[in-house]
Amino acid sequence: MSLDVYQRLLALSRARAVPAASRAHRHLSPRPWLLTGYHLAGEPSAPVAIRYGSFRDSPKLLTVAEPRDRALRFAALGGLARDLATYLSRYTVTEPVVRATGSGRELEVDHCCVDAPQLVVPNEATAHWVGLLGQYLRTLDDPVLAAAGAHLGWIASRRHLPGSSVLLTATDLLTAHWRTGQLPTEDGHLGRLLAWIEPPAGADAWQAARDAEAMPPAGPASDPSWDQVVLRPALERAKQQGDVRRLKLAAAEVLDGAWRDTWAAIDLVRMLPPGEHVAKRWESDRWSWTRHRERVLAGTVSFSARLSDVPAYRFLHELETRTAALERQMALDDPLVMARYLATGEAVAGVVFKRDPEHTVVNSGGRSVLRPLLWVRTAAAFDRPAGTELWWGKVGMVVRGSTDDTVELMVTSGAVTRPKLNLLPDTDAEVVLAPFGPLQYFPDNLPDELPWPTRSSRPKPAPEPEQDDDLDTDLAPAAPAAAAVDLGGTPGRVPGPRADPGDGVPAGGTAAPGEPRGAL
Amino acid sequence: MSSAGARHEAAIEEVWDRVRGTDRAVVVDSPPGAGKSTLVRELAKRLVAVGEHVPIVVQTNDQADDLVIALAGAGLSTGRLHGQEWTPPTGWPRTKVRTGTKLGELGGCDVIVGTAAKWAFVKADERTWPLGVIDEAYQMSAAALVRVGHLFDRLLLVGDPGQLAPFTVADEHSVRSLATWPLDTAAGTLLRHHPDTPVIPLPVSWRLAPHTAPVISDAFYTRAFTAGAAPTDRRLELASLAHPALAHAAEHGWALLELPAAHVPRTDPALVATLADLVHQLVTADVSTVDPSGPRPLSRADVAVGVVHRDQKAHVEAALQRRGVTGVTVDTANRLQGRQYEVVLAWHPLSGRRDASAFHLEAGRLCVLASRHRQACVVVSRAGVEEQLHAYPAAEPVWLGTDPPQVDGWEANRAFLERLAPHRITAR
Amino acid sequence: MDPRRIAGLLDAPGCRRRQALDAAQVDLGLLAEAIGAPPGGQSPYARERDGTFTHLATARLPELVGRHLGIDCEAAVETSELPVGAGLWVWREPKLRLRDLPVTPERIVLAGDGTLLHPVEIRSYACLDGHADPAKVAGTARELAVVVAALRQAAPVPERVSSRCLLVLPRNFGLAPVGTLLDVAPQVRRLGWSLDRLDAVDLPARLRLPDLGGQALVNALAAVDARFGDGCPSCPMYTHCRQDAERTGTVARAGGAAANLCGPVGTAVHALALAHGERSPSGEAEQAIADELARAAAAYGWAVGGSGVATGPGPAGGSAR
Ligand code: SF4
Repeated sequence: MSLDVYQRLLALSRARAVPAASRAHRHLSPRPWLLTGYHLAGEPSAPVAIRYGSFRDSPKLLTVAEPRDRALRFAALGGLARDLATYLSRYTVTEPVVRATGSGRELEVDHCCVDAPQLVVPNEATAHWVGLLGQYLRTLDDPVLAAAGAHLGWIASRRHLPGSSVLLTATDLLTAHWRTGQLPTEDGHLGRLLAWIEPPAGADAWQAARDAEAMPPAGPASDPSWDQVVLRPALERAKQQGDVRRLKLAAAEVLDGAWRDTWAAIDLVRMLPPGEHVAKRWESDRWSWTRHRERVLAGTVSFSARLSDVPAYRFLHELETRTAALERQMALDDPLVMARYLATGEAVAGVVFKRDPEHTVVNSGGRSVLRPLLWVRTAAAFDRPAGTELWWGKVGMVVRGSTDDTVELMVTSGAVTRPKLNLLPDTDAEVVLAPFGPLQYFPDNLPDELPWPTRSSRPKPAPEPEQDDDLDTDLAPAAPAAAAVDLGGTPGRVPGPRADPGDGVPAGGTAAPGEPRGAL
Repeated sequence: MSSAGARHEAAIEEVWDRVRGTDRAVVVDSPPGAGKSTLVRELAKRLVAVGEHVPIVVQTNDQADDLVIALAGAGLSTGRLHGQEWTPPTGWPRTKVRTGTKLGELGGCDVIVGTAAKWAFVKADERTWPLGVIDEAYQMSAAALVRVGHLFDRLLLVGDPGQLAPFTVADEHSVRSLATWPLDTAAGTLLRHHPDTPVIPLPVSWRLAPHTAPVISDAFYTRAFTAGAAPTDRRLELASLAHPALAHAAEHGWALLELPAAHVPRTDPALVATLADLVHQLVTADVSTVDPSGPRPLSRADVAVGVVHRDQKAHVEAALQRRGVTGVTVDTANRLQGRQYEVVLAWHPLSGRRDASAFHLEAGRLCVLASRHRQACVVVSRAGVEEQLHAYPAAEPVWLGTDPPQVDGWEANRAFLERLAPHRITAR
Repeated sequence: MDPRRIAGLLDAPGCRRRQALDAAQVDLGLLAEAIGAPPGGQSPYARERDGTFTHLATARLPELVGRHLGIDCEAAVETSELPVGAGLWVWREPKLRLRDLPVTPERIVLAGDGTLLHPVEIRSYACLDGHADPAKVAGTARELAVVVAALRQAAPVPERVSSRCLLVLPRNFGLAPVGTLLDVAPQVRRLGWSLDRLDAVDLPARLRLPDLGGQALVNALAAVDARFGDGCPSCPMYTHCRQDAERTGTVARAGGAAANLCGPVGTAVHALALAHGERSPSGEAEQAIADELARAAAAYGWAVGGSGVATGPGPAGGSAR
């Protein structure tokens, strides 16, 4: 997109990031749970150190003297599991909500948690690791650890859903709201990114970014030379002499940067006023949390390794719906996001200079119907052809023609009856006509079972024998295939009596999540 | 009958035998202009003749309308299942056709045509059919097939494997990491789950000219096909002063008109001007198109410009308007799918870029642009596409357990360029 | 060279400097030192895990080879040449060549079915529920392509070396080996074309000096044309080239999208001057770039200027501030 490039060029020439949003487009909990950590290189299920908690100044620190020792790991993760449970227990209060049921005509009272937990991690790799950690914990026999695994599984499953704020990464928070002048892949480094947004006084972003790079990485994989020079001696000492002080010190020191930076990212985004639709999207997260809790209490949480069959298609449908909704909502909430569509010429900004609200056409049934006309003066030529559809909130229109600085439009929906004519923009009103209107939700229309053309008639090939896993000696405990995806939480349909209104597709036809309310 | 004709007829009979046989599904791979629409019409006729009711699933409303017009023209009583917003196009038949938003309104029709999106609303407990026909089965996604598959006991899928693949707004990485890939084509997913399904390729392209068919076949298809027309059957007659690219294309079927290498924005003004000039010349000079039915002057409806992006379309249309040319189709690859013209001028997807991208490399995009013509195709491009191809990193993610694509976009682009090298004309 | 090094040609094939670096077989240790890049390398823990897994997996190879390739075989036999027939072999420190470049992997494991030889590769990144990091698998596929191509060059009958390889990874969180077939045919073809191009690269004579190091090495490389872009962070010259790009304010420093849009306009300052109408475009191409950027600049100005324009009736209207 050309605006994106323009912003990157501005940033590059100023050696400082430029804003890409003027609203916060992620929900920020007043009390998020942060987690940063390292695992042993190559062994994602062997944490070395994790720093976590909701309190900026007094984080908990967990270290594992021999990360490959199952018992030690078990003990250390037990602490984390209990602390997570304590944090989550704050989010059990529910409130009654009246909502439409299946057919959309009847109302029922349901209960939704008034707030939901939020986990914030420094970067994508850590977010991915949270999922793995949850998956690993669920393989353990200990009920506390397994419960923590289930919760982390739910949290991690929300990460892939556009618009969800249950699991945030600091790098995503920042790249959603600022543009830097470096390579997009370099934006994945939290320290570099912060250096671009808030370089230390006197330094330009380039220097600050290089300095940030010299610091230990934000995890969960550590830097090979740090492993060699610092970690190895500290682990040896802890293992041989039972003295973990050096390890704790090393861990605290190395995790400090990522911890501070993650909070700094939150602080930066908190300074922006939230976008109009953010609360609506968070409501969808709250419903999902509510349902997840119900499943936990009922003992029916289930995770599937990878989705296949109908759930895979349902997941695709949900992703598509959410992607489209998020794009629109952000643009409607935030002029800086709408500007992207102006820059590509898909949206038009201008002033209404003439109206003909009484204009009518004869429809296919031979009836004369109201189709008001608008003329808008634009700063630049609108180069899309006649017939292009544009929206002003819920008022839909088609382009009839355009000149170098005007566009003629015919209203086709939203204000085509006399009582609704007052919804038309006035003469002299400044307007932005967007390439999208209120999002239409379509049911996913999927069958309960895959039809024959899309499923194999042959039996599946026998899976590889599982007894292999006994090779996992004490160094790396056995873990059967399990659970990347929270079956219940993700794709809209819940293996329970009620559909989850929070997940993309509404249960009834009304109150679609993410529908641009403001356009009412 | 020509040998091409005989091979085509044999393929058609094989399809018919299979359709009347016991295979649960039959796939017909149809290269560009291989007579897919005729095949669907012919099969529908034969099926109705033996007393069957034929439901046909297509992908777009335009396709549905075109097919209904053709079927009604062939004397079949046809139902058009449509959505709320649909209005009949011009030239809509007055007899033989019923229309409705519900199946119930189409009682008595022998053939029912609707889009996949519309068929998805038909409930299996309403009605099912012993055999369903899916047209453009390579444009249809597996997700769409899942929503209609239960309506039919058996399926005939017809489509062109060289078309643009189904598209999703969802993040491919998320989908692929969490789910088995649900965005295959309908035909692809059926073949994966039912590997014994017979695939019958239509062996002859009636559209492409003898010298252009092999290039398309080699670069974009795994099952080879040839042109049905003989080298002497068709000809484009141009005034002697024609642009060298047009003259070359008239003779050889292809021309690759290269402008000086440059990195330019995607609305490259020089490319726009060149295309508009070529079109202007084609429609104003005395050009005739000759085929076995005889010579006739080339009309504006015979010419199309294929582009990659909508803003390119806007710019080319504006440039044509400035030259006083109207009535020439200018459209993007995905909207040109399934259409045919005498002469096509194509904007090379990689022209003037610094770096190729997966979008611009997609085999189907180039294939659609390069296979819409009967007589000649002029590909217009900035020089340097070859360098761009070589500079493209081979870093595509590899998903365990999936096969590499049958036709790789990068390789197809490269092969196409190599085959066009003898037809390179350097713009003055 | 390590196959990884040659596979690197497929990462950033558009840059002549990168090609020269590989074609001249520049010592990467010396280079890193010369440009002051961080040393990199592998964590001792990753190395240990690698070793443990390779050991475990090697013991289980006959079974995996049997299951996935249908070859009945005993434990791998040492070989010092390209084997023929059926069986499982390990070839330590083979001295292969790909065109003129030496290819010297630590070892190659080969499974033969009597006709075809299939490379077998053991890697220690996890395969979770049949799914491994696609970027890592792609990297492995590129390296395997180098091995396949080098073996084909060494083989009397090149077609006998199959591009269908067996990739062995640890399953889930444990160390149990699991096998998957990986066809690297596309990567082998791409590699061939990249090498064709490489043959055509004119190496600066200075680069050919053995043991060239220090500033002289950097200067020799810097004299070759570079093409900064999204693939650079994986290149050994990255820290040097990016500083270059920063100094000159090159558009490409901000990534491929920016470089693509700006075309012939090389610096951010120039591009912004066009965007803001402070410089008149020379020629049609610049005009088009200027138009596009000017529209972006206007849109940006509109948004941050906060004209309070409504995007629709009601509260969602973007009342900017
Ligand atoms: S870092 Fe330098 S040498 Fe390496 S690919 Fe990029 S520009 Fe070329």
